[in-house]
Amino acid sequence: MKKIRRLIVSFGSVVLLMATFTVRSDSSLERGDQLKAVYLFNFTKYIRWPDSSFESKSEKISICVDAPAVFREFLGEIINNKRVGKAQQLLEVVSLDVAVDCELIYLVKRDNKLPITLNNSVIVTDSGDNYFPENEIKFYILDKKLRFEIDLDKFKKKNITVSSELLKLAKIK
Amino acid sequence: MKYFKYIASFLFCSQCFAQSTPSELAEMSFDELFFIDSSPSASTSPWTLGYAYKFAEYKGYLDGDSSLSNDEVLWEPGNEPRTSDNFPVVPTVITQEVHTVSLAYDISPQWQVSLLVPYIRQETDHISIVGNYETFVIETDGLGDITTQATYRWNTGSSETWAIGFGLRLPTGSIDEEGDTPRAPGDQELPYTMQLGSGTYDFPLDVRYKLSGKHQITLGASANIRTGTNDRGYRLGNNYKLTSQYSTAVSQKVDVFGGLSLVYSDSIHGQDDALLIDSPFPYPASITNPDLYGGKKVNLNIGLLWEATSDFYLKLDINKPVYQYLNGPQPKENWTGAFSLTKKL
Repeated sequence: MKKIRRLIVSFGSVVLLMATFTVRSDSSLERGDQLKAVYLFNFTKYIRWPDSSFESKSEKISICVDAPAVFREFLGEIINNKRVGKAQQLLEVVSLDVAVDCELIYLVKRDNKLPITLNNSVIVTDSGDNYFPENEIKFYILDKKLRFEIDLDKFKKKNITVSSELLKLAKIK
Repeated sequence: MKYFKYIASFLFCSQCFAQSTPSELAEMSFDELFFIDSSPSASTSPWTLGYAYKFAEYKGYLDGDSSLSNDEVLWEPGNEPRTSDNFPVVPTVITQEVHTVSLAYDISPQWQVSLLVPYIRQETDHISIVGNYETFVIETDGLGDITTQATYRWNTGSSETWAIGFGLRLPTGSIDEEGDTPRAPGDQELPYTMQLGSGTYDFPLDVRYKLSGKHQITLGASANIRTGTNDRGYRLGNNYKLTSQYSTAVSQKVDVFGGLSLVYSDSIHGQDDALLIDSPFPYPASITNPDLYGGKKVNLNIGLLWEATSDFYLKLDINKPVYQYLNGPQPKENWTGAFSLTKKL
């Protein structure tokens, strides 16, 4: 009888502990959006834009974001004056509404025309509706994990090169 | 009570790791990022607490793949000669229950270390030809062998994941359990099946491949490699297992799964001399003969996984052998059932 009581007490304690301790992020930006920001930063490491898109090797790579300010601020903290690629190009985050030239564009929700030309821009769209079909990269969710789909033909048309390391992890459209 | 405050402070410390800073996230590779749960309510704690209950029942006998009744295994003096295939004592039903508490810590999205502490309870019903022991029951219970293990995961595509695990199983379970058997008056050393541990340092290894999606496929290979010889002069056999499993979601919160596994187990190496009797046939029961362990099994398994909350899972799992070829006469596995709770702290 003692053993049964001990077992019940042990089992009850485990269940109670499991039910009690729940820790959640207190960031104002949801985890999914935090991850998207990190993915955007990582994309710049594996994509090579044609030289014609930069005036000189020291030119910046602009990530133009059509998302709330809190997202831009978080992405800004991530890139934090980082440089990428062989040419060590400086990354910057700008709001799409004031952008002039963009290497990477992140659209959360936009179905009308963009305020800039897209010749050398890689467009990344959020998961969900296909609200901007002219994208090169699209986020999607698989088993609660963030994944991305790449449209290789669109990259080729723009003469933008994607590293095989990135393609290995992508779903190819 | 004094220990509770240390345990509580240790668990509350999980909040120390609750949030990754932007610079920490920026340092992560895609391989690491691919393992981070993106759902809004997901816990970001690296700690996972688990509890699992497993039940197994062994009933009836097999010699190779031929079934034998309890009466065929029981030696009846006067009616039949004593051979190496019949015994004066016959276990009829063996039940094993294992309660396992586990605590896992994510060192990184790809590396996880864990500790598993099992509590084992076993019971065996017997029949015998010995007076006053025509039927008798033996029970043992206590701490089993504690396992520490590490797992590394990596991606080979948007939906393909590999994992490799390796561990060390410590000989914390008793191999000196005693009980009242017909072998002699009073308590004596109990057979291998009634012991709570292996008595040796064992190395569990496994490799898994998972193809995620609407229809999820998991393939795995695992082994439990035992080393040395324990204090009682034997080493339990190694186990090897190949598994395949299909799972699919039947609702937003529930997945069902089914699969097949192939299991091969070695017999016991060496023997515990305390289990023998002084006779031309030294084994009083099949379970005291180290050669009558191990064999091959094909198991069918079905179950379901319920996601109660984004970080609290319940899993039910039932296994039924559909083919067994055992080094016998040996008690055959009837079925096993398991349920587990997993909570991200």
